[in-house]
Amino acid sequence: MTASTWPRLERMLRGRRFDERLIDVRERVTGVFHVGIGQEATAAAIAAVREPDDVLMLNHRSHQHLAANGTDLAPMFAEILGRDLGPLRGRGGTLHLCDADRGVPYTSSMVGGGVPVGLGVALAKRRRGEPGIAICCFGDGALGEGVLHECFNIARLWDLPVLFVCESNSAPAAGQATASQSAGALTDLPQAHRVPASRADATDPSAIDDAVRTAVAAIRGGGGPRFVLAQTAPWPGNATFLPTNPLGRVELSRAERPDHEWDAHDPILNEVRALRRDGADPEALRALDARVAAEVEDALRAALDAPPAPASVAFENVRASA
Amino acid sequence: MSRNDNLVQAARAALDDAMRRDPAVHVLGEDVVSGGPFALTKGLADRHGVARVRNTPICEGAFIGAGVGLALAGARPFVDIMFNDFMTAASDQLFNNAAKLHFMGGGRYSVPLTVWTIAGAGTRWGAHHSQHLDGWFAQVAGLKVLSPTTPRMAYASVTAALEDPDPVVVLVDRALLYDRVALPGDDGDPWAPRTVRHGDDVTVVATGRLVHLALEAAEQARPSVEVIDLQRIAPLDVEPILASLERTSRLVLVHDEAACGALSALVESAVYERGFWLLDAPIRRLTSPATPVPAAATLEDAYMLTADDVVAAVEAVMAG
Repeated sequence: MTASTWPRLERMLRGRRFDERLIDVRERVTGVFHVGIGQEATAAAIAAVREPDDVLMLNHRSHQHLAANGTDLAPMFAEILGRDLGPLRGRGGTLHLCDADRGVPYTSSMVGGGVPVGLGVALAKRRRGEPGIAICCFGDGALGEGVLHECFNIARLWDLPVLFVCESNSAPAAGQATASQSAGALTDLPQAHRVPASRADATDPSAIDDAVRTAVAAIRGGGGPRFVLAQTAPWPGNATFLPTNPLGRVELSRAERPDHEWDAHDPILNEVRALRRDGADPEALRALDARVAAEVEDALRAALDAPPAPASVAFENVRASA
Repeated sequence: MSRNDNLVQAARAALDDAMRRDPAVHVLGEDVVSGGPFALTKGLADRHGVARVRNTPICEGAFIGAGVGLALAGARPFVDIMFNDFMTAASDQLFNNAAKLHFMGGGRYSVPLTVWTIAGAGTRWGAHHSQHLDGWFAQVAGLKVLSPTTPRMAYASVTAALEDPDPVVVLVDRALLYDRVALPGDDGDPWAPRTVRHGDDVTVVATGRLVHLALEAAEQARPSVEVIDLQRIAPLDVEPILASLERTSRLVLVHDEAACGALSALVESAVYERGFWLLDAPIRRLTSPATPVPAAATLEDAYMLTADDVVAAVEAVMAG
């Protein structure tokens, strides 16, 4: 990623253009994948405050985070497409994407599975007096798992430098947070363990940016764990197995001329609207988008041209020693 | 069930029929109202109501445990665990409550709980969605485990599990979910290993998709191969294997699980203990490699057993 006039927009576009192209080539993806379309503002907010010493625990929906963090897109495509060029040489695929160089050591695809690991890393950092915090991302569904509540508890008991980010893409239900949560608000759950929680509209990039920035500043200042609820609107292309793209490629011009009802919830279009209000030149925005799209295209081509991993890779790295 | 049903449809028919017969049968699981990712429970909520077909949040421990409580209170719960890998998040409830409650209640209570789950590689989903944990379940005293390999046996297994007084895990190989192949003995007992091919020189015992693979291999191999579909994973019943060895005296065990934890090791030791003198050669175990299941096609293909591997094992046991 190069320095940009609008780093936040660029971070979000990297995720969006990546996922849109991935859906275009979905027939080449074996297995299953999830996209982060509509959730890019949260990823950009985290990437903007992430320091090199922080650890970021992601989940099965990770593309937008890695893209926002500046992970090379060719290895990302390659991992998903089962090529040797991927960070795990194809062992992990989309469900286990990671980037050790940018604080993402490993990704669990068990719902909520990576969160306690983040706590342990945070505990180690604190014990050694090292800088850095743990940022643990999960969906609203993960709040059904007991382990999340166990984590809130010990994060507070031990005052760990942990940011819990709940990326909710479920609609609120009548009288309760979601169809599968009895709590009135998802923020009630960490607060029951005295983990301070805030809620932000994650379709509004500056709102989620403020919430994440405030929470991270409190954690870095020694205030212990924080929870941010990043509320998005469900994106209509998500599916159990392979997503589709019913809204098509999102042209930035849709900021002014929406094509779909969902465009009002699109964090990228919302960012473009805000930048235009601040006087940004639409041509310059389009040029940035074109540059990102070209980067994505080159990355996709490089991944598709890369050879698959040799079979022997399947049997390496099972244990660290004999 | 109808003649054209695939394995999932047959399992659904068995559940549907049981729900019609017995109001005590309840379904719990993630997305069961819509039918779930494999359409296992599709239409059942419409027919039997959402009070009996109940969506749960993502909380495997809580809903397996609730299944134990339902069973304790006289219901017949059918719990869907989408992938057997997710049982790791519910293992306390399954291993410590479901499996031990009859014993720890002094025999006073039974736990007629059915846990349906799928296992196995081949779909490029990687290490958290592709494991085969049946050998794990088989090691817990108090659990019963069935692994049907055809639509009719899936129907019979689900029916038998729901009628059984004990906790039964019905574990189906992912690769067989949409399969329609029938096998000899489909009208038989799901609790008994079955001979699906007769032969004179070597006995191959297999589970899941490997039963079908072993039949394919038997056609290619030079020796005359008998194939036994284990079906009943726990408690083990090795009698039919010993009876087969009386004639063939050579045994190959084929199982989709890392050798270090495999069901085939349990079968092997049981056969050595009771049938050592029937054997003319050491038992051959053909298992998956001891590595997590990789995602990429080339890697997963290298990981998975093939019919050629079975042929090679058969030839080797003949030479041994």
